[in-house]
Amino acid sequence: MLAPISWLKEYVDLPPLETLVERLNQTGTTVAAIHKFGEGLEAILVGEILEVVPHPNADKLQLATVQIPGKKLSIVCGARNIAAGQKVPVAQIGTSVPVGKDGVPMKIERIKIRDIESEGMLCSAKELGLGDDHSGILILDENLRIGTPLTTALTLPETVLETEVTTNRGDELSIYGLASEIAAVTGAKHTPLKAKSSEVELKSQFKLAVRVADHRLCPRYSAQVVTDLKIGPSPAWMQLRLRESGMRPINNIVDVTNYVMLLTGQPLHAFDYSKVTGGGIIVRESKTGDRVTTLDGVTRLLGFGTIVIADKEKVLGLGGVMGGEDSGIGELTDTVVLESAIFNPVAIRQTAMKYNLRSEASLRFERGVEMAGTVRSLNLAVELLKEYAGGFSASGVIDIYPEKYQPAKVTLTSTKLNQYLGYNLPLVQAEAILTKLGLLTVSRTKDKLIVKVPSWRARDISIEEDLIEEVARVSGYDAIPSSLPTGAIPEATAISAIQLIRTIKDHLTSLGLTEVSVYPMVSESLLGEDVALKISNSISKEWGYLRTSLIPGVTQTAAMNLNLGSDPAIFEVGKVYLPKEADLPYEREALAVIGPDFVTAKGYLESLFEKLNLPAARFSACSAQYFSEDSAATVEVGNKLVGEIGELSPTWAEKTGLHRRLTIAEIDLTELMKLTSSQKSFRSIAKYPSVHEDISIVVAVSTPIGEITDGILLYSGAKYLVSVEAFDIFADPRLGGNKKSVSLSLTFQAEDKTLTDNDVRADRKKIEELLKENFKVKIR
Amino acid sequence: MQAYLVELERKALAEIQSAKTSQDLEGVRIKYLGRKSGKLTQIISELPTLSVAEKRVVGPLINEVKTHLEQALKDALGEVGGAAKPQLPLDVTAPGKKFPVGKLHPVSQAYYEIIEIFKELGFGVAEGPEVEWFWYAFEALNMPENHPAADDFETFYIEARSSKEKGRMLLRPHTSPVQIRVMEQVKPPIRIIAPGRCFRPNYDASHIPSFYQFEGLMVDKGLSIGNLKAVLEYFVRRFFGPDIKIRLRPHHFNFTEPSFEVDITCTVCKGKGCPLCSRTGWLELGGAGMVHPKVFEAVGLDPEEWSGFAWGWGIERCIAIKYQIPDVRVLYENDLRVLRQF
Repeated sequence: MLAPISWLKEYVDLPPLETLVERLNQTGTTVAAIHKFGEGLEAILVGEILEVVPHPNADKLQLATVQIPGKKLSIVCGARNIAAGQKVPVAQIGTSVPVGKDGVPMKIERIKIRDIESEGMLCSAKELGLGDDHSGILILDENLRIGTPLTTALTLPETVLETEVTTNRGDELSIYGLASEIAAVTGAKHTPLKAKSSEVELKSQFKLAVRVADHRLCPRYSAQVVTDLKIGPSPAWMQLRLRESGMRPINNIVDVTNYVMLLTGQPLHAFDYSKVTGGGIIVRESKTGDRVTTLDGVTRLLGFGTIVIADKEKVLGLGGVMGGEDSGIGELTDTVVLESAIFNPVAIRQTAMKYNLRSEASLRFERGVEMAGTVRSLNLAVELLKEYAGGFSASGVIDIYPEKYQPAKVTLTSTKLNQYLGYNLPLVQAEAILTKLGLLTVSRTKDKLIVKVPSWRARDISIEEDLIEEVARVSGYDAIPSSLPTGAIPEATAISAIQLIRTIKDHLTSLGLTEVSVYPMVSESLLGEDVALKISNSISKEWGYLRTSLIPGVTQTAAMNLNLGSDPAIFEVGKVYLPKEADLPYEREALAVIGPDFVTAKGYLESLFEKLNLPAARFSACSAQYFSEDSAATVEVGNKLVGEIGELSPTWAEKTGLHRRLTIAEIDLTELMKLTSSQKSFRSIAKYPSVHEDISIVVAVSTPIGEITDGILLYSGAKYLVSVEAFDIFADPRLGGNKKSVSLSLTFQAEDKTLTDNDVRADRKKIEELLKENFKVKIR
Repeated sequence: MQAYLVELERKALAEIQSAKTSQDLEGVRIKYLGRKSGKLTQIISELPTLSVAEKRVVGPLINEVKTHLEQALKDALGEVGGAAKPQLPLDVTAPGKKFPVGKLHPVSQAYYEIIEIFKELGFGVAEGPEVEWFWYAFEALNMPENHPAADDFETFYIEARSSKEKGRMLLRPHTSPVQIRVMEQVKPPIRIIAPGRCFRPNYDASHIPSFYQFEGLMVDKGLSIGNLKAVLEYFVRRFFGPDIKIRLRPHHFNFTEPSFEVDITCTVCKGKGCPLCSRTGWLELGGAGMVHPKVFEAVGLDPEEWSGFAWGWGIERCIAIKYQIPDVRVLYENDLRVLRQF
């Protein structure tokens, strides 16, 4: 909220600005900015328009003769709202205005506009930096003396606080509310807001009847008719207050409603009485067929559930959000219904969101407006209308208020207060703080205080903890001594998964791979064949779905880094989201790792499995959606499928922008972690030496090496064979067509003896037989 | 026989390649082409025993292998200059052997560092689902259906059928649902942090649609705001530096009462005031507060018996402050030149 300091001062004695800001920040009212409103206007003077004539060479321009001390200036002006006798801000040649055409300060120079010289400029509010109003020249109070600097005329510059009000403190969305808060937290003197009640002053009363259809939507509706109004501009001081508070002056009636809202926090609305059929107002929920053109000029077809103010024939406006154009204040309006009502915050919020209509009124209703204050605000507005629009109240105050506000009583015990604070604060001091905040004592014993909640804090304070917060924030959080908790340390919940994942990540980084982290949302085109969860309100097509695989994202990252000239030695660990029927998805922890070729990527995996003390993985050729036909494999560990590896297919390479062949493996870490065991068993090192032998074979290219080595281990019947490992695999046309040469390293060992040549020879013979029979190999 | 010859050629060529001196090369020559016992020489000597058909195949192959090896020996000898390679003296300033170095993503580094720090205070780690039900994300946290944080522009929703008991399916906008899940399952006393991924529909220099928070929750008897202060102070000192202090500013959250925004001493100016902290000397870190009685009630704990405090801070925010990163989006661009700085 924007709060002009001079306005606050009418209701509270302010400490120096710096002290005030610090205190507000300490106590929960964040001062987001301190603005200087109307700076740099010292050279702008008040001038009087003596004459306005049309510009001889341009239809849209006028020529004004303006009197300033000792000089008459001839000024070309495009605005239509000027007339002889008005006082206006004049920027002479050589001076400058803060907001020129491009939003930056502009120096006024002697120029000719359509062949007529202009000796200065008449200024709009926007050009002076006094708001965004550029619809015409800023018309000043006619009583001002010619030549008065604008800063003196308008008491500028004004310091304006911009506060951030938390959602629970709707009461601070008003000058008076903020002034009350300042008084409470600084202890400064506070001037209460007074309003005279205004009874009927005309003998010929205007009929006003109000029916509230649903009191949950509108718990209080106060209204009064004011007549004999003369529409015109509001007084300059009021216009300035509105501008300082970020609002635009419109006319005296609308300005009064806005002014009172800024002052008290109670949104008011004025309907043209002549547009209210039969003087009967109905507050109800909208129904099918209802339509209204709101003040912003948009015709809205309403569905169910919107609070409308209607008469028996038509909708007059959206209650608490925006009035209707038809029932709004026009140039001919002379009688108004002034509405000061309370609307349901939730309903207002929904309406504001549904029609994308956020107004100063809806903002306040959403945060909650003080139930007890409607009539006071109404009285204030009527008073101002009488003074500045010449009206009379022409009806009694209608006040539909079936459930009167009952202040809640809340208890504060010194036990709990002192527990939260961590030090002993005498209850009387807490009481003093609460009293200043308007939480008046109902009863007090030695260690227990009961207070009642004033209507402006009704939505915010209902339990003891709320009172503790009030006491703590005012007495100061800095005063609370820090002390580490002393209770017993609970046994930690299992974090083995996090530790394992860390081991995995650390291992991969030690291999020279860098971890990347990709947003887990993907575009539809990167989903592949999987069913994925769709985000209903995604903010970009690129992020429409939750990924079901890490591969697309990691590949894109690799492609991008290749383009930047970095070698994509990368991996990612993250969740993939697999939809389930009528339940939250299965969030699987996954690993994706990239290698320049299959052997390297496979090697990363094998070394990782070894690090995790897992059994050797089995890789079996397969076809899979992301990979090229002849370069993909499933990865099995301990007979469980844990992932896939392969060279990215051309289709996916194109989708992800990859211009190089890369191998990617994706591993299901959730499954893999189930296979790891923290129970490591010790195995003593064999006492007897092992014997190593090599066999070189020539075999068909199509025979998988894994099958050969597995075959030897499992089926050869070699008694002492403990391991088989393939090495030195190569093809050579001289071997004959479709053949490859493979060397096998065999290790033999016995637990109970040193092997003899005969032992090994017998085993080797069995192996050779198996190779010849089952794999049709040539042994050299 | 062909296979043997091919194999022999590969081995010999490999040995020639790794030979460092002319003596080494001579050794290889004798091993394969030596007049008496060279391996290739021996094969040649066995040639007559082969059948005519075999001779026709093996003969030319032997010649080919012999030519390859002789040529390779000659070339290699030329390279080593026919003499021992000169041994350079050790130059300790010459670069060492290069090993590739991988890095953890900066968010991971902070994630583990945070876990370690809180471990020192006896806090365990808890996790919860990233795709959540409305009840866990809002209702149990004392935020009713119409709470602004549940708006479409504050929370991502999933196109899926709602649960009768737990409401709409969504992407959690904060880690706070883990508080609820933990308190549902574990009896106090509780000390946990719950780091994890969260989502919100924002994208600018300080907001990203997917980010990490770490929730903290302590539940015990008789806890005070002073306890909360001490725990958070411990963390900021360990994470940001020993001279960093905290300040609590009153704030409003539905699931804590009292609630605070926690500021820390500006890490750049150490509180003197600089452009980063808008001359205030403080930087906003995130929210915290004492667990609201309604939250205890939602999980079936008696608020008269138990008290607690909680906080939920952004990991990227912590990183951005610690390393003075002006735009957090850079963390997820995954440019390796950036990631390798950490």
